[in-house]
Amino acid sequence: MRLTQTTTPAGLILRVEEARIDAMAAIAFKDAMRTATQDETGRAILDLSEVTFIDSSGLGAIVAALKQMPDGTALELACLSSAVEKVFSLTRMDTVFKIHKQLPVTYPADV
Amino acid sequence: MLFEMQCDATPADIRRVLHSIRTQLSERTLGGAETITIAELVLAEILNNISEHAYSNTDCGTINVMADDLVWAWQFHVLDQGMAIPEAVQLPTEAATPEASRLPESGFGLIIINTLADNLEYKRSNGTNHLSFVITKVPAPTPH
Repeated sequence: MRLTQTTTPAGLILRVEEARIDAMAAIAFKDAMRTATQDETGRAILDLSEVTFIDSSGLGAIVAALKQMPDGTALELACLSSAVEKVFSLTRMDTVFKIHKQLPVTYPADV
Repeated sequence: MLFEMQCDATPADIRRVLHSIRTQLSERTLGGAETITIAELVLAEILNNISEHAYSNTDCGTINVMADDLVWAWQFHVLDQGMAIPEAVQLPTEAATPEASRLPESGFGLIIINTLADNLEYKRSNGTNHLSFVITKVPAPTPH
């Protein structure tokens, strides 16, 4: 699971460089997220612009990544394709995550 | 019949067959991108469930997927020779509003299947599970 990390003024951007987060990729994704966020102190943003498909295992892995974030930090999502957005809305997980249409460029005052 | 395909009940081969099905649906039928995505989502959940539950006691199960084009919809049949679906498995009708403190990491699959598939039917006969369902085609946006 390729996950590109970029530190920006808006927070840590984690870009998934894969087209699918599915049953085959879910465990590797969760592990890569744990490694990438274990020392995080502020906000991490998961950039899903390359991801065209997630299934329930992939969704479960993204929820697990949220739950394993260090205390006091945030995990937000950005750039969901229509197929990915559909899975989040069907399962109401779109109410759990803060979802950005585009990558944020500034750090919010309320995090 | 539109096509019949077979795959091993493994994550890698399920990924391969989903790709082949997507190609067949887009090249050989009239169905928009959104309908193909819906079909792929439902099939992914059903094939994953067969791999994880029906064949949980073996490493070498096979799954057959057949499709018919009904013009307004696609009808799919998914067959496997794994364990029967327990009668206690109930399909949830819709997702519950999640509580932030107790987020589920599983159970999403049945919500996806039940929300997106129509006419879902399950039969068990002669050691074979036979699941059939319909994916209604979403009308493509009218060009301006």
